[in-house]
Amino acid sequence: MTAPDSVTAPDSVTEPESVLERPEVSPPEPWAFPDAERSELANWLSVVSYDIPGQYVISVCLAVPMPLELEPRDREGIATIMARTLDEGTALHTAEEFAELLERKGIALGAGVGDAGLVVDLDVSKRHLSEALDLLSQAVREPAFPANEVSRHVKTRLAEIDQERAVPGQRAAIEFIATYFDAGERASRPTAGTKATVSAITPQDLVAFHAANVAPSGATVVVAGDLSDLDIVSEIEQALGSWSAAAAQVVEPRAAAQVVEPHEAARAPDAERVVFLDRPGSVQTEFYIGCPGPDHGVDGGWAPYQVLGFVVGGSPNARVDAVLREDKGFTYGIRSGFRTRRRGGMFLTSGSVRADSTVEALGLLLDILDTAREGFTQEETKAGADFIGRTAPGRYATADTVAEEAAGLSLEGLTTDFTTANLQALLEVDAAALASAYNRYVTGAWTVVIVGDASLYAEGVRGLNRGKVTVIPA
Amino acid sequence: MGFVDGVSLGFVLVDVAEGFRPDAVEEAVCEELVRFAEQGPTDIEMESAMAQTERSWLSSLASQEERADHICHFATLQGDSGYINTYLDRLAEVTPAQVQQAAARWLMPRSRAVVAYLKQDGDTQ
Repeated sequence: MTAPDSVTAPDSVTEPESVLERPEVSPPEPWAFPDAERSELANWLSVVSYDIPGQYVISVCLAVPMPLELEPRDREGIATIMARTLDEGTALHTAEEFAELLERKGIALGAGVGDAGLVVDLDVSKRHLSEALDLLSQAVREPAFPANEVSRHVKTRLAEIDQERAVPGQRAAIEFIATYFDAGERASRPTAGTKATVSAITPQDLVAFHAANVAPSGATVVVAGDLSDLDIVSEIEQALGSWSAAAAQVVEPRAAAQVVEPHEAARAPDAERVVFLDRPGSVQTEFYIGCPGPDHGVDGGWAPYQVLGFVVGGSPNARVDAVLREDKGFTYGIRSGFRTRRRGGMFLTSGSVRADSTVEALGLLLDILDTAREGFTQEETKAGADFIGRTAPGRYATADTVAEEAAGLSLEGLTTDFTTANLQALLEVDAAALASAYNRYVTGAWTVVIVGDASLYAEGVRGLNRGKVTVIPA
Repeated sequence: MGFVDGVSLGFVLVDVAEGFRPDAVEEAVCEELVRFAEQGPTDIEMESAMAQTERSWLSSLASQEERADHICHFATLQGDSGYINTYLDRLAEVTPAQVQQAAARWLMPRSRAVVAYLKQDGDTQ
């Protein structure tokens, strides 16, 4: 009979002396995005560096403005194939030699393209930075595009296209851009190209595309990490100072960047509708739902849109998942957010639900998105702004995230002063700002793409009266 | 995978290109494993393994979350929360002969289990 007492009475348990008092949680110290050092080389290459003590892996990002509209229409995907083959052989080294040189210094080199340009990134431990910058320079300036390597990457991309079509979420995304954007826009087609355009890419095409578009003027190289005892500008000067544009292209500084004036991609005249991709026997149904949104330069600031993404569909407690996941159990998670392009943007919601909930889930989802126009509580607003603002120190703690942020913004013509100002603006976002921002863009003009079993659910979706429903085989 | 006890797993992942027989590719991988177990790593392979590990290890300590995870991992499973500070030093002491011996003990093809994800005849996807 004494046992329960000895369990419940706390003073009968000997407290180990090493147990600390639970700390009081106090508001965090003010935090600011790291300060940049900026300069420009004689070849108009911008150099931006961030000294972040304790980050012993240095991250370097080279951003070259290269709007996807510059790709020849019948070779779309060429920028992606170029990015993937930059280090597959150069003027001085074969692909295998180059790979070995990277490995011996522990250099991780990668490259990719988005709607605004090419970003080549590398991570390397501090002591191998000079060698790494030399190899980056060779890959960017003197890629050889050997036929066997090009052919391998073309085949890899073709296999990737098959895989993308097989995965419901990716299949939905491909159909979404085709439905949402006007067919004349590059944005309506996949960044990395289609089977027809990728198959046509030759080494000669890559040589020509590289010579015409990869130039230092307008480009930015960002270096972030523990830069103590390093002279970054002289390191960059050493590696990239003699980089010049191909002869045909040297006319005036920044000419390359200005070839295509950024414009907001037009929406298709019939974008406001429902496309149901039929996949008989699907056990889950995939949704991809969107309407227009702003870019980073929006009047009134970007901060409210970041908070909106979190409050509407950024976490399991956000409005969408509070109902569809927590209450109904239809999904593992559906996410919403504003996605920017150089000009303009979109408000996107995507995720999958249990197949037998398809019709009810879509109805609820669109109702939640539409009802949000009535506004947000002060509590939701504060929770969202706190989450975005107070996780920033962790999010931007590493050299690679800082370098990526700066490189990405440079392609939009922005610096990380934007990031700093936005974090400051987050503190001022209130419920009225959220409602006004949401109503400005989210008017109910939805483009909806569904991947699922149309024979079972297309009629039900029609019954929701959410726009014309087109069923096509997936 | 460094399990705390029992036998850890090592993986070789191969994507077979169109037009090649998966069993022929598997055979080539096995030949390579046997050769490695006999000859051990080259100096360049040792240099590369060290340099790549140094960078990836320091990268994984760069973010607060991953660093906390590493400290927690070693404190819980190895009883040594300071292990993260000595890992690279331990690695630097590994000799080519030790790598060769480890390969000969653990990486021989006879110990393998193979999972193949294959296209069926007539599949179009």
